[in-house]
Amino acid sequence: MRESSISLTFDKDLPRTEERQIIQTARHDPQAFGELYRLYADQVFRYLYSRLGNVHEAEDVTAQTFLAAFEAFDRFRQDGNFAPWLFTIARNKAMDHFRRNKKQEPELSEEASSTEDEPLSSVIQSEQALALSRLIQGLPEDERELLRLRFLAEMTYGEMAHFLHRTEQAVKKTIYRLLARLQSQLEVSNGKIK
Amino acid sequence: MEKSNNSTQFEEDIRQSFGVPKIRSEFVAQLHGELIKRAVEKTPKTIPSFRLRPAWIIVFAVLSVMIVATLVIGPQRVFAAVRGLLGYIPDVGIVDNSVPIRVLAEPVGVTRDGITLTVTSATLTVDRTHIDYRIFGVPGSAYPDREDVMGCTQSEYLRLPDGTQLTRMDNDFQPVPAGVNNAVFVVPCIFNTLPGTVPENWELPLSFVPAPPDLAVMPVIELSPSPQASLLPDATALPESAGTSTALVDSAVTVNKVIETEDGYILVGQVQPQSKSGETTQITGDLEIRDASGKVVSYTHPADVSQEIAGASTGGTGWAVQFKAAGLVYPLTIRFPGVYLFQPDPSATAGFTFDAGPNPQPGQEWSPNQDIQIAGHTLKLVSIMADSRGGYSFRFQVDPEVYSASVQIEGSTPNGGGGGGGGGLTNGEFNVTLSYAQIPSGVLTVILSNLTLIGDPLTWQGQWSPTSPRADLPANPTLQPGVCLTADSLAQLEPAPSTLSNGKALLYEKLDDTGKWGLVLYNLDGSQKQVVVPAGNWGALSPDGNRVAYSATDNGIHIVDVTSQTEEILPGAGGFNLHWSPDGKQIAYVGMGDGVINSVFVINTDGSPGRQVSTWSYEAVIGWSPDGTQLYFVAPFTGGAAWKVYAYDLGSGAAQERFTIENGTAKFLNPKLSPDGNWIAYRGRDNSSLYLVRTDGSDMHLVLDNAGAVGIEWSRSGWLGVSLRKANSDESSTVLIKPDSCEAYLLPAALQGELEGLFIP
Repeated sequence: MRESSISLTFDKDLPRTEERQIIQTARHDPQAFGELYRLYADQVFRYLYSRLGNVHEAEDVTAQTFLAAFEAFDRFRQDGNFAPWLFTIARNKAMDHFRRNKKQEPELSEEASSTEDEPLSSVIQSEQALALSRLIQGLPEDERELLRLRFLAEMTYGEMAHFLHRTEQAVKKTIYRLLARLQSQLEVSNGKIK
Repeated sequence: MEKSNNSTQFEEDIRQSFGVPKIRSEFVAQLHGELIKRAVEKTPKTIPSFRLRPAWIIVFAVLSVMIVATLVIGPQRVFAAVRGLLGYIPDVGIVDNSVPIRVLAEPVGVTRDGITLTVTSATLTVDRTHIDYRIFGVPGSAYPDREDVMGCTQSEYLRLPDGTQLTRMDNDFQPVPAGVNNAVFVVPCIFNTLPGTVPENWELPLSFVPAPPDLAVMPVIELSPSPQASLLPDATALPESAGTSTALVDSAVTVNKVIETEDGYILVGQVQPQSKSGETTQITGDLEIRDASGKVVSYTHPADVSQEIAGASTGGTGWAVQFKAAGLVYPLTIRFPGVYLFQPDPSATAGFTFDAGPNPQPGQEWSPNQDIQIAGHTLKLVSIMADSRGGYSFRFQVDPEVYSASVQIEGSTPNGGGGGGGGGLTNGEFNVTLSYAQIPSGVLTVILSNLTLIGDPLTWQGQWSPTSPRADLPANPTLQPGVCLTADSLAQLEPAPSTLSNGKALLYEKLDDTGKWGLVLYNLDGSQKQVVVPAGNWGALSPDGNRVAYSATDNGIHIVDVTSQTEEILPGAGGFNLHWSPDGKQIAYVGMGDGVINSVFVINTDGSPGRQVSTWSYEAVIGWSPDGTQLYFVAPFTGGAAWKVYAYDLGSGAAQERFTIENGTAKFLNPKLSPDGNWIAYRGRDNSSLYLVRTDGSDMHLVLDNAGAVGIEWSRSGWLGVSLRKANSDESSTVLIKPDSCEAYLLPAALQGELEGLFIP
């Protein structure tokens, strides 16, 4: 890495250190929960949209998630595992939503992405992504969930391990293999197109 | 800690392939506002200061546009109408009283596998059905053993004889139609329990009967606003702020509903901040009420009318207060503090460059400490940090006049962002976070604009008087028997005598220079301040005052020797809510283990194995009997509706149920056993009062009335120490009380924070 033109410090854990400080503050000052919300609103929404396929419903369940997390925050004790805790609530809220509406989780598809509000072209910007979308659509749900957690929820491998009750190494290995497989399939797919 | 932002194009393509649109900023701001509103309501007793976020600016800017009339209240201009439609039932709330109310014929309970579910009361009105129920006996093993796992979240409902399901609407259920006097209360599963661990599909048949004549339904008086209105408020000097430029905006606080309670009033109203063209406003604190003699009126925020606040829809921000009225002189003046915000030069911009390098990494930080001039003000760019969301966080230090500024990276369009801090309103800092689909790299040009300054402080106010004087209240406030202190009488306390100065107090407080919280030991005269634990929580002072046990950030239990500052870690123990045994050889704590969540354990301080005392969940330790043979603890009904008190015999290993605390707070009961083993002190349901009850459940009485009680500790010599959070302030004070005689002293102001240990020889 090239040295920056101005003084540089490097601490990989700093974002989570900051998060822990916010969590500790929020235990005494409930309004500090707003900071945690700021940190995670985008990821939670993306994760839920990918499961629900509808902006309105994703917003609704995002709101439910944060309000439930806020109300349950007094019982949250593991400062280092806020993300897994929050996304567990999000996942359960999404499942509740499906149960209430008695519908199946939407398949990841062009149709799901091309609502009137959000035309496909505005959100999937490359042929590569379109091809990938089709490949991911064909994945089993547990593998799609891995991709959601990693790339939409932006979880670390450690957080994913906590969330999925698996070891960090196992999650890492699964993700690497999954990405390699997708890449390989994509190359084959591109070859066919050519 | 690696993050997914080590973005390859392939990974970015995966993100894109999910087709997730950008989250709407309006939604983000709206939800943030809702969370902050709930946080304000949740903050016990007082709201020290609103977190100042851009979302609030948006909210209040929108409100200021929406508000085209100033609603005026006051004794001469109020039109009051008793419609007779609404009634207030304590613990239920405001209900439609237009048709006869029905209630539960009798409590109904059922026990399955040691778990009891009881419907204790029901109130049926034309607009909703209020059900009170409680569950006890759920074993800890039924709950997920890790907090990142959620159990069942299916909601309960009422099933009518024709099969119709009445589902939840906020805290209550849909109304039971007139003429239907039976329903089945269905609980599909106990909240957060794992499948198969406890009985599911609970069904309790309920019968409803007309409410008895003595059901307390207090009339709700709805106030209509005056037809007089003006677009802009008149700003005048605030009398008690002479010498400052504080402006007073009259008639911006309205009262919409009035409820006469047994000893005072509940007021429900709104504050409607307004601003002039080109300005926005910011509420900066909770309301203050003074009577006509200038006396500050202490109040609580009643939880049972929270839906009325949430339902406020005429613009503005809802509020509700409950207060005692004896001795008050009317009119009452209700005030919210705030400030104007404005942009001195909307076209002013400034810029700087920094080199992020070719591959900026999450957590990477630059410390430019660079002064940037914009519109005549200096903003010091303290740091830039690459974050885990594909963006940067910019932290600025500013002079007291500056509130915030916008930040953009030239040539890059962010897909999200946020910020915090209120510049001169908070700690002289604000930060801006920008997120991108692909983090910008290389030499970046950053543009600052929209410098926002903090204008004059202002106060929104309104007045209220009852339409007719209360003849049923005493002319002056009188304390109930046993009550030692109220919020109003704190100022009259004497300082502690020198004979007590050799004692020690352990406080959990904000450390001076770091902004972090830690455990600090003081002599009771405020001297000998010693930061014992710079990063830890749940401190407990040993019986001899020489050691502090605390819960470390890794959840482990550590013991610090106060004199030598040496520290040891108790092996295998992890938890909080620590209580030393009288001989100092054991510590009771609340922890997690195989199949239990927040149950009581005992660990030996010599490191030898301890034991698990209970198997329920979300318990709290009360304390040890003087001879150390019994350990008292409380176990909540689910949701904290009430608390069962148990005495655990360490010899036999048997726990005996003693009684139930019905009026304790669900949030932080903080029960503490007196050193003679006779009394339990705990926080009341208002999160502010303190009660005492004997260990057999008798003689329950109020000791501190709405005084802001938080930290509770007994000394071995029988003094009860309580840290009290002051209304409308970050400050707290600590008092010593002898509850039997009400002898009480105020400890020095240096003892700020939450009391977690008290040693008086």
